[in-house]
Amino acid sequence: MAEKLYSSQHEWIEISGQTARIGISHYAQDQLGDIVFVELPEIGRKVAAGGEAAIVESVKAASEVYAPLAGEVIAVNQAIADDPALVNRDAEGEGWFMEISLANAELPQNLMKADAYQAFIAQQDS
Amino acid sequence: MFSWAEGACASLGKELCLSGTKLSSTPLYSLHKALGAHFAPFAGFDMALRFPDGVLAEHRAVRAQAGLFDVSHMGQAELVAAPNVMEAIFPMALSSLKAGAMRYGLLLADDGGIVDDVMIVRLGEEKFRIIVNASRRAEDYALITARLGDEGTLNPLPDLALLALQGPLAVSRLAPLFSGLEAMPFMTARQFEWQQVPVLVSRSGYTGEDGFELSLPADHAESLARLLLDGAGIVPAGLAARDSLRLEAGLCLYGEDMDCTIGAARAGLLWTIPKARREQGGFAGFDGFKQRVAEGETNYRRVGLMLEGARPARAGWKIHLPDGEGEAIGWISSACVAPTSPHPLAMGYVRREACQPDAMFFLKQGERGLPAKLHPLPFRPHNYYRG
Repeated sequence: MAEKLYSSQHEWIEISGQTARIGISHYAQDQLGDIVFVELPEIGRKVAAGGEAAIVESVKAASEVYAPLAGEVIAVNQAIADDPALVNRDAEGEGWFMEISLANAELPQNLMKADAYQAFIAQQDS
Repeated sequence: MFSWAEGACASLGKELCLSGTKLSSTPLYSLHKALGAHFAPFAGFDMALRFPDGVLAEHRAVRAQAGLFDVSHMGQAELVAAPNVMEAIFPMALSSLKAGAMRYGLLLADDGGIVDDVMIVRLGEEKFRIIVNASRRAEDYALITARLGDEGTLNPLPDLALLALQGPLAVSRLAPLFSGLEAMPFMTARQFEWQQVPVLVSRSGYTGEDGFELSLPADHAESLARLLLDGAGIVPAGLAARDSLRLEAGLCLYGEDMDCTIGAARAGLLWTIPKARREQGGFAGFDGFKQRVAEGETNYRRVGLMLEGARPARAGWKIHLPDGEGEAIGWISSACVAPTSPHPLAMGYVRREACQPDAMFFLKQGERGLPAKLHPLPFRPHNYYRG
């Protein structure tokens, strides 16, 4: 099973060879509160590392979801378009946003493993 | 991510989030913390915004069962003055207000702009209780005190908490504690005693539901809150739910739907000023009030808007005619997602001539926009108990 890496912007990415699945972290959905709408990218869209890839709207505000790595969108999760609350219920599982084919083979330096991310958010909250 | 923090602060009353300034706590702070609430600064207070089940669940719970809010951040004060002195300060019918009755009304600046919206309870011949918005407490108290001169006094009551239990289950939850409470009509208040503690209970609130507000010494607020939350179907509710509930009920939030640049006529709050007083005056701000109307402030009307689909609009967006072209014809003052309405909702100001029944608009932010339809206020009928 591919492990998740986390960005400082609270997205996760799960890499399997040349493709990767992207979502927002459990912490992110908790901070956002009830999610009421998601705007997913079209298939074929190219996203930059750290670039806007989707929009998630909570009760109070709209937030950008950034692609942790560069690539091309090859799939989006219609389930969260139909039921945005799924992102709240299972942000790191069934609430995934999109899948991309990776532009580069190199693994990034700036992404965190799970325990480093937990430490990162613990520090943010203090 | 995250614009949400600024969004949360910005759209909850346009309050400055004063970084580095110590926030005050409300009496239920510890309880709210223990219940896992998310907090946000509001009007200098560290307020429970929402609880773990989320704001949509709280909103639904208030409409179907009951929700308990801590609104102790609001200003409560005693006003001792003759009714005619009160009526010179507030454009309200206060002479005719019976003891034990309460009214919603406005405090106007000399130029007719709205300084705050208030609740006034009559407790005796020359004794009143006023409840004001937390964000306006300092301004209100200073203005009222100045206008009273030596004809009355305003005594702030900072040691009192204010709890609001709102929803259809509220009356049955409270009746065992406060004998005779169920007979109280909407907008009346009565002094009770609970465990030898004085509690001023009013049948009032700001959600559109039947419900009660309980004013009691802050030291006892947590005990009462814990007791009330112990009942089946009673949930804790935070500021975010309070906002979506009041908007769905068509009620204004000071700082969003009106501020000191807006007068009573434009804000659609003329009904709070008795017709005779609108004509005869005798209240502070009357000249400004008349001037605003004469200068056409009713060229914009406060309206309700219902979106389509599930995507919400936000306060500050501009309102356009359906083609989205040309000049804006209005602006959104507040917006929300109300799970008990079919679509997201908004309140705003639109040019009068564009306000035909079922008129369609285009709500724009930059290049992005959403269609919306004019909707009568309130979006949902009120459930007040008239006796």
